[in-house]
Amino acid sequence: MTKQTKRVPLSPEEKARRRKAKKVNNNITFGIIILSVVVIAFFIFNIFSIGLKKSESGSGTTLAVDKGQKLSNDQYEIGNNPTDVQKEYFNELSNAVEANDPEKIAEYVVKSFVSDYYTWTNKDGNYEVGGVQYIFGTKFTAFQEEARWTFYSDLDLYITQYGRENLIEVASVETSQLQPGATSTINGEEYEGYYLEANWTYKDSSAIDVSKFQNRAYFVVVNNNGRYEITEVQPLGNDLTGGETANE
Amino acid sequence: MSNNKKSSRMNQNLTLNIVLAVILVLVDLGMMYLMYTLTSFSNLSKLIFIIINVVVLILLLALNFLFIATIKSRKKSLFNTTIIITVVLAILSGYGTYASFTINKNVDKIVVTGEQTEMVEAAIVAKSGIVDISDLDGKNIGYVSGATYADIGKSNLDAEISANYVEYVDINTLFTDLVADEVDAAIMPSNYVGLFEVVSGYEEALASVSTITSYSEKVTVSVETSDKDITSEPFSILVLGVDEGRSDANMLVTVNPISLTITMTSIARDSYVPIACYSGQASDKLGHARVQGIQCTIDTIENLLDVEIDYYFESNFQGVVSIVDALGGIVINNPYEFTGQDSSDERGHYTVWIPAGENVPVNGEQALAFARERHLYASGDFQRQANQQHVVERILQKAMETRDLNKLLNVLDAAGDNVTTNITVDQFISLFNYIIEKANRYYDQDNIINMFNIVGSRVTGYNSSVWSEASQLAMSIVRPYEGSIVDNHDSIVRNLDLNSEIDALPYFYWNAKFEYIPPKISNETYSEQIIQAETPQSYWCTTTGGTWDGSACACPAGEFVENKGCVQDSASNYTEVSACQAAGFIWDESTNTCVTTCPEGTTSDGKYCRATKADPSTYTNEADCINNGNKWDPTTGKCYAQCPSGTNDNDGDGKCSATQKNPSDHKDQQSCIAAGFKWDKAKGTCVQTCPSGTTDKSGVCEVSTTTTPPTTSPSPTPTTSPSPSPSPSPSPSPSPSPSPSPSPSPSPSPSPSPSPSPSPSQDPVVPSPSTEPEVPVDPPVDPSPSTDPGNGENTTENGTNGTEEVPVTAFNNLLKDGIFNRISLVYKANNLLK
Repeated sequence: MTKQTKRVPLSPEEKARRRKAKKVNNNITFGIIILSVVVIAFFIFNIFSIGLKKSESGSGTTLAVDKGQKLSNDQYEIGNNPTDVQKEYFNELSNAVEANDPEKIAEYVVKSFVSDYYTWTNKDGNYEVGGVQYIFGTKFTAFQEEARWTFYSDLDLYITQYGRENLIEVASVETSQLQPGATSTINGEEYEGYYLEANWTYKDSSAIDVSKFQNRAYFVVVNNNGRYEITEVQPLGNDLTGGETANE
Repeated sequence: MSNNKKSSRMNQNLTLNIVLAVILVLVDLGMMYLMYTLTSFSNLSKLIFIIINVVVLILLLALNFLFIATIKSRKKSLFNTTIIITVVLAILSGYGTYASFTINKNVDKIVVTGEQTEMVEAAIVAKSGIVDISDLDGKNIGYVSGATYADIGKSNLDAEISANYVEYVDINTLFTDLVADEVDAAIMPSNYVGLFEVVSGYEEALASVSTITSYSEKVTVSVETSDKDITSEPFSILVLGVDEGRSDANMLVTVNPISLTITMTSIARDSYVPIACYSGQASDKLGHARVQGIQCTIDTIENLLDVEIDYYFESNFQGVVSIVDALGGIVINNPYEFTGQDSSDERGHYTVWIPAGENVPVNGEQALAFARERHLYASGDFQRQANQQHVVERILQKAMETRDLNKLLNVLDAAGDNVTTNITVDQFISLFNYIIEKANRYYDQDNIINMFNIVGSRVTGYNSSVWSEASQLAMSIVRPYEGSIVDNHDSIVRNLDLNSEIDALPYFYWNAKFEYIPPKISNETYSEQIIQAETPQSYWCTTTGGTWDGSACACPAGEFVENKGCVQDSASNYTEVSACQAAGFIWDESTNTCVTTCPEGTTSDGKYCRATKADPSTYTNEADCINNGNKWDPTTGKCYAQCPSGTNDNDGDGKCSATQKNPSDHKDQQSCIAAGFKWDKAKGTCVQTCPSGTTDKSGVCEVSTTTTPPTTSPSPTPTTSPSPSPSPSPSPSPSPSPSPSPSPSPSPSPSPSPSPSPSPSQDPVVPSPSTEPEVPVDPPVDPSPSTDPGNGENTTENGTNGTEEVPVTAFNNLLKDGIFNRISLVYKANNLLK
C-alpha cells in the first residue's frame, strides 16, 4: 500500500499570496507581450528607415564587373568587362598555352595586350590600365604608373567630355615580323623571347577621331619562368607627329 | 512538499521573475537604442544593416517569449536558459551602446558644419612699466582691423578706459611697433607668444612685453562647406596642422574620383602672402592667418592658389601623439638618427631620440618629433613637409591594419579632442562605399592603395625677411615664386576640372629596363624678380654671435653668410660642387671653389657664381652689344638682354627681327624656343613639338636617360651629408630658370616619358646570326641614335644616375590584411608641425 501525501488545506493568507503572485506573473507576462509589440513596431520602423534612407551624396557610379565574362587559363586572366575581340584573342591565347606553342603564345599575348590596353570603352577610370597582366612580372606597377602619367592621363576627361561608349575600342589586331632570339636584361638577368610587330584598328567613333591614336608598335615578349610577358612597347616609324591630341 | 516550502519557493520565483523582467526590459530598450544609433551608419551597407536588425529582432522576441514560457512552466532549466541569454544580450547591448555612444560623441566633436560657437580670447599686451589697464587711459593702443579678438578687446577696454586706437593691417607690424614703443599697448590674440616664439631673433622682444589682462567671449563662427557629390565630382580639402594658434602645416589635397588622382600641395607656414581677412589683404606669414579663424586661412589659400576649397581637416600636436600612442605606435623610414623636440609647450626640449633605419618603430612623441624636424636637412622646411606626409601615411596604414575595436575606439577618442572637419559622416560613408567598388575592379588586389595616383608638390619660394626699422627686428619669411604658384594652380585645376583641355599624347611606349620619373609639378627655383630683403647684414651678424665693425662681420667660428649670419661650417671645407651647394654655399665657376659670397665681377644665382654681365643698355653699337651676349634691335638701335616683344633672334646672329611663325624659319635653338617651338637636338631643327622617342627638356627635345625611381613625395630630399646639422639651403638669390622657354608650367601630362629608345645594335630585337629569319626584319627606328645611352641597363636599373636620392614613395606596403583592407585613403591628417 502506497503512502499518500496528505494535502494540507491552504490557509486564507496563503491563498491570498498565491492569488497575488499569480496576478503579478500575469501582469509581467502581459507587460512582456506589450514590450514585444513595441519591439516589433520599432524594428519595422527602423528597417523601413534604413531602406528608405537617401544618402546625401554618392551618385558616382562604377562599372559593374561582369563575373560571368571572367576568362582565365593557367597563366593569364582576361581584363574586366572584356570586349568580344578581347575574348576572341584570349581564347586563342588559352589554346596556345594549352598547346605550349611559344610563338603562338607570344602572338596572342601581344594581341590580348593591345586589345585591352588600347580599349577605353570598358575602363572605369584612369586607374584601370588595361593589359597589365601581360606585362613583365615585377614591372607592372611601374608600367601602370607610367601609363597613368602618359597615355591614360586624360581618360577621366575623355569619359566626362565624350562618354565612355564613344572612346577608342580595338576592332582587330594583326601581328607580323615575329622573330625569336630577342632578349631583355632586367635586374641583371637575361630573358629570351620574341620580337614582333602589331598593327591594329579601332572601331569608328562619332565623338573622337580614332585615327589620331597609335595603331602600330613593336613588342618584345620574353619567357619569364614559363610565362610570356611583354618587356617593351615601342611605336613604329614616324607615323606619329607627336603633340596632337585625338579629340575633335 | 509542505505548503510553507511551496509558498517560499513561489515568493523566490516571483522576486526573480520581477528582477528578470526588469533586466529584460532594459535589454530590449538597450538593443533598440543601439540599433537606432547605428542607423546613421547604415549607408555603409543597407542590406547588412537590415539583416542585423532582423536578427536582433528575432533574438529579442525569442528572449521575451522564452521568459513568458519560464513564468508559465516554472521549469528550472528554462529559467537558467533565459538567464544566460539575457545576460549575453545585456553584455552585447551594454558594450554596443557604449561603442555607439563613443563613436557618435566623437563624430559630433570632429564633424563641424554650419555655425558653431567658440571662445575667442584677446590679450592686452604692453611693455614693462604698464601693469594695469588704468595705466593705458589716454594712451595709444594698437589693434589689427577686422580681427575678432581686436573687437573683443576694444569693446571691453572701452568699458574701463578711454584710449586712442591705432589701426594696423597685420599682426607682425603691430608687434614690432609695440616693441619699438610706437604704441603703448596692443590688442593681441591670447596665443600671440606662440606666433612669434618660432621667429628667430624675437626672443628678446617677446621677453620685453607681457599680458596685462585678457578678455574672452563666445562668438558664433560659420565655416563655409560644400554640398558636392564627392563620388562624382572632384573636390578639395585643406589639411591643417595647428599649434599655438598657428597653422604650421598647410596642405591642399584634391581628389579626382574618376581618375583617382590625389594631389597634395604643401605651402610653407612662413610663406609671406596676402591674408584675406586683413584690412586691404595686407601680407603676413600664412601661419598667422589661422589666428583670425579657419575661414581666414581657407580664404587666404583660395586667393593664393586661385582655387575653390570645398572642405577642411584640422588637427593639432597632441592629436598626433595621442593617436599614434592609441594605435600602439607606427613605423617610419628615418635616414638620420637625431634627438628632437618633445610635444611640450616649452621650446628647446630636445629629449626625444629617433633612431635611423627603415620601418623603425616609434611612439607618439617620436613620430611628432620626426615630423617637426627641419634643421637636419639642407632643404629645411621643405623636407619636413615630406616627412609630415610620411608620418600621416604610416598612421593611416596602422589604423587600417588594426582589428582591435577597443583600439579604434581609443583612436577615435584621441581624434575627437584634437581633430575637426566639415566633411559629413554621410559624405564620408558614400566615398568609402564608392572606393570599395573601385577597389573591386583593381588588378593588383594585394596593393589596393596603388590604385591611387598620388602627386606630391609644394609651393617653392626663397628665403627672405621683413625688416622693422623701428624695432630693429627681422622676421624671416619665405616669398613664394609666382611661377610655382602658377604651376601648382595648374596642377590642381587639372585635377579638379573635368572640362580641362585634353593634351595627353595619343600614343605610348615603354621599356621594362627603364624606370619612369613622373614630371615635377613645380621647379625648385624660378627666374623671377627677387624682392631683396631690407634687413641689414649687421642684424644677421649680431644675432648669430658675430661682431659688426661697420662693414664686415667677425664670426667667432665658421664663416659669415649674407642674409644668414655666422655659420659653423666653412665653404673651404668643400671641394665638390654638389656637396658645396648642399651645405648652403655657392660654387664659384670662375675659380672652381666653394665660397660663401661671390667675388667681384660675378653674380650669385643661389648655387653658382657666374660672370656678371654689364647692363645691355650700356652698349651703343651692334658689335659690342652682340659680342657680349646681348641682342641688337636694328629698328630701335638699342641693345637688349633679350629681343623685345614681337621680335626674335630668328637667325641666331644676335639681331632682332619680327618673330617667325613657322618652326622652319628658326635656324637656331634660342630663337626657336623663344618663339614657342621646340628644338630637336638630334636633327638640329626647329619643330612644332618634340618627335616620338624624345623628351621636352626646357624646349629642347632630347632622348632621356634618367633612371631615378618615381617619387610621389614633394621633391626635397634629405642631405646626404652625415652631419647632424648642416646649414639649411639659403637661396637668397634664386637661380635663373635654365629655360628661356615661355612655358614654365609643367603639367601632369607633359611630353612623353623619359624612356630611351635603344639603338638597333644595342637592343636585341635583331635576331642572332645563327637564326636566319624567313622574312627580313626591319629593326625598330631609333629617333636619336647619336644620343643612345649605350647599355641602358647600367644607367637605369639601379634607379639612379648619380643624381638625387629619392625619398620613400607614399603608400608603399600600406594596406595588408587589415580589417579595412580594401579601404583607400582620401584624407590625410597632416597635423605635424613646427
